[in-house]
Amino acid sequence: MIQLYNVTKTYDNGVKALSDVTLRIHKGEFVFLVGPSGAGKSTLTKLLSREELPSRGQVILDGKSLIRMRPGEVPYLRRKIGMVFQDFRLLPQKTVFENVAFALEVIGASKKDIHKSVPKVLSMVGLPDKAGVFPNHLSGGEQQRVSIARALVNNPFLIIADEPTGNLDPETSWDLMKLLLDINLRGTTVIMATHACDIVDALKKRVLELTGGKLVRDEKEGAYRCEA
Amino acid sequence: MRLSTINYYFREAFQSVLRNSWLSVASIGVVAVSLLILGSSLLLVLNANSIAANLESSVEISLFLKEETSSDEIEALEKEIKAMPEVTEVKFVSKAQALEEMKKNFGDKQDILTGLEEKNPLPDALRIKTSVVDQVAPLAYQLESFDAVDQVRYGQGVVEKLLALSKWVRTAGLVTMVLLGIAAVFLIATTIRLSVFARRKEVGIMKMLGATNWFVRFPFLLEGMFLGLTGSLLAVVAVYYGYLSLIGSIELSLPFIQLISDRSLLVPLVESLLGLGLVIGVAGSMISLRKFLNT
Ligand SMILES: Nc1ncnc2c1ncn2[C@@H]1O[C@H](COP(=O)(O)OP(=O)(O)O)[C@@H](O)[C@H]1O
Ligand SMILES: [Mg+2]
Repeated sequence: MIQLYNVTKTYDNGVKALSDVTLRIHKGEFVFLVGPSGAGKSTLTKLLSREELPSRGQVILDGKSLIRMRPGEVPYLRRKIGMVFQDFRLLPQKTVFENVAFALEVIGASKKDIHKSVPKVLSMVGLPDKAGVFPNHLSGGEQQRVSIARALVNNPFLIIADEPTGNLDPETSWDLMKLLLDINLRGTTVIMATHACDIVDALKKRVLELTGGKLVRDEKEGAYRCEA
Repeated sequence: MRLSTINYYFREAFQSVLRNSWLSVASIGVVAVSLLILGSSLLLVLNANSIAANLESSVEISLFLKEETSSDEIEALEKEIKAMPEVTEVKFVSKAQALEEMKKNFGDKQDILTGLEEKNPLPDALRIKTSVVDQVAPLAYQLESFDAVDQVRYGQGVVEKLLALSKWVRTAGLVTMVLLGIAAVFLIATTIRLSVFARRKEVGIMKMLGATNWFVRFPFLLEGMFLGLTGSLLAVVAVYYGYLSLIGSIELSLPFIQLISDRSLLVPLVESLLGLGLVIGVAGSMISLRKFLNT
């Protein structure tokens, strides 16, 4: 479902963030993207959401080349991808409900649809009673759950999580992982960039390791290898 | 478009206007002033042109005759003038006819003239038209020497002055308007840029969530349109009431000057001022959106 062929990304300032990366991710997989800081993990996720275009190579998502995609099609691509970030990216002046509803508002959904879907995802992420609360009054783990709810509310086929546990304590991180695994079990592909080696080691999922922009490892039931 | 979406657009746009309240006020003010200048100079030009046109059609020489001139003498004089090569038409206007005409010119204020019939102060006159406009001055000079002629009048010069004035006003008004219009466009562009900046986080999230470019842009465009339209509305109100009171005071003090009060002329003027305000607003926001809201 996701294919990268000989992808190289050189930023305008000359930094080569990815170098000749070729990989393939199937529908329904759970993939860890590991590697030291600056290895190119975030760059790879940005290629998938078409925030960046590769300097060379081909990126194919759901049978469509993102390189040949017209700018007008990009929003429709993003509606099918749920994105989760380390810093949550919630709007502080909106309540939990409104933050999640925002994902539906911007694609022009009806009020009726919004009032049907938002409570559903909120209870799915374990926050059924936080709808009226503002993000500042939530713990980091809860805020990240809101951002996952927002990512889920459009029924994406792919969830991209860029260091989603980066700001969370270990216990909360594990709760969040359970949620992501749960989402994956329902058939959604999940790609997660992370530094959390204990999580990677414990879950025995597919691991893609980047170092200096090169794909140096692709293991079916891999580990982070914490000592590295 | 859904109602909730439209609601969203307006809510966002007005939040921005309030957030940048000082810059918004400045933008509205500059739009208002530039359109006010355009509106007033347009009215001035239109009026000067219409007055000039009236005068031009009446570029003719009036010979006011001496009180004691007999009708035989008048007839003889008429024949003699008609025989002159540059004269195309001679018309006798009795003092009674002249008074009638004056009443017509005064329109609904002709009651000022009642009571003048018994002691009509106007002289008998001959009205002379020439084939070429620049013959008027020498001919008038020549006609002055006739015995029966008391006074010679002609409107030439005034017409030229009026047309020159109208041309000058047109140029000066246009230049000022264009300069201020450009300033207004850039002030609005700055306001919108600040709005985009104040909401860059929200914009980033919207893009991440798959909002189309137009969905992201529309509240900002609306904000610009609001600034431009509000400014032009102020200008229209000021021009309209200013002009009405001008018409009022001119009617009182200079009743023979007929200002344009025709709806078919004023309505398009108001419409184009409002339209221009909108265009200024859209142009300003598009400049900023092009620069700062590309995916
Ligand atoms: N927008 C950018 N412009 C220039 N260089 C960038 C940009 N984004 C990332 N980089 C550089 O590309 C390299 C890879 O970055 P990134 O993909 O963020 O790595 P990771 O997420 O694995 O830490 C780094 O050297 C980083 O400095
Ligand atoms: Mg990163």
